[in-house]
Amino acid sequence: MKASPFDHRQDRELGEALRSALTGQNEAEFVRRVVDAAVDIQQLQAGGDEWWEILNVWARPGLAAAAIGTIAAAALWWSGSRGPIESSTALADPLQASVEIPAAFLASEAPDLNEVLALELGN
Amino acid sequence: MKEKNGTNGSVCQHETPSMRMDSRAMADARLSDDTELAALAHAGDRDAFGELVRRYAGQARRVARAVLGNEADADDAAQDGFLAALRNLGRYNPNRPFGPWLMRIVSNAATDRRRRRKVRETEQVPPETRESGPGPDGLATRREFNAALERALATLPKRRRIAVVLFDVEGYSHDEVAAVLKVPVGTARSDVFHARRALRKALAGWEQLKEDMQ
Repeated sequence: MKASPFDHRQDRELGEALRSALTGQNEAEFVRRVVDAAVDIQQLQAGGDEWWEILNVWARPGLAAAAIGTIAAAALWWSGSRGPIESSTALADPLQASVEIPAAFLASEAPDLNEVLALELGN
Repeated sequence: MKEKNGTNGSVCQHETPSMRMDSRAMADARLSDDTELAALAHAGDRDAFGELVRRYAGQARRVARAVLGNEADADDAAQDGFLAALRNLGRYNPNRPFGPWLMRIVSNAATDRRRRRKVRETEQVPPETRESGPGPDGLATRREFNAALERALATLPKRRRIAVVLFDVEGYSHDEVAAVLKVPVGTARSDVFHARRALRKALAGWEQLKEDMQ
């Protein structure tokens, strides 16, 4: 009985021929080479955690830092929004301070230009 | 019970129910064994990983060689496959057999390497290794036959190569071949069938040489 391609069982003759053609040499050396390469990977894996584990470790400090940052930003914003009022007050102070107005400016008639210039130069 | 057939000397095996039970029990034991080794390797046990490599080195190298067609590249790809499997042992489902899972990774690694090699150079047909010199002795004939078989294999589509090697060389079932190739079982059957037919046709002229080798 000739082996049929339809056969659901292994074609042992073809299997043996393929095994002989495809089997590489020096299997022990190959195994050693793979195991040596694996040692490096295992060392890397032992040293490095998975990304979610790293994130988990950083979750609490991260949240605390985010909260502090938010508070600082809010404080800055709040102080910034108050800034213009304080500065206008600061500018208003000299204006509100009592200043002696020269008599020339209090006269009912327009002062002579030379008097005004003399006053300014005198100051 | 093994039976030698008259026409072509092929050996075919008829399974009795008790043999099927034995092989099933062996497969279960192997599954559990491989699963334990995989768990240990995942936990960092180097010896367990070494044992898995020892068990599957032959298979992995043959599957990679069926894809790549040369031994050096095949060994590199098989190594890539083992290391990728080690990195991904956490994703291995212990309720499934380890072999098909590993062979899928190895065949993917070989396919990647083949793709990269194609970018570098046009694919080379395996060189003729026909021996020159005086009349064929057993070793030379074996080499010639193997070279012819490899050349015939290289003419097949990649999926069929993997299918026939897994089924006829490594003894995987059609279901397992389908799992490795990620195709329906019917497609795996068809791949094995077409690969066998093509290989048998390509090797039809070697009947005399086969008899010389035996």
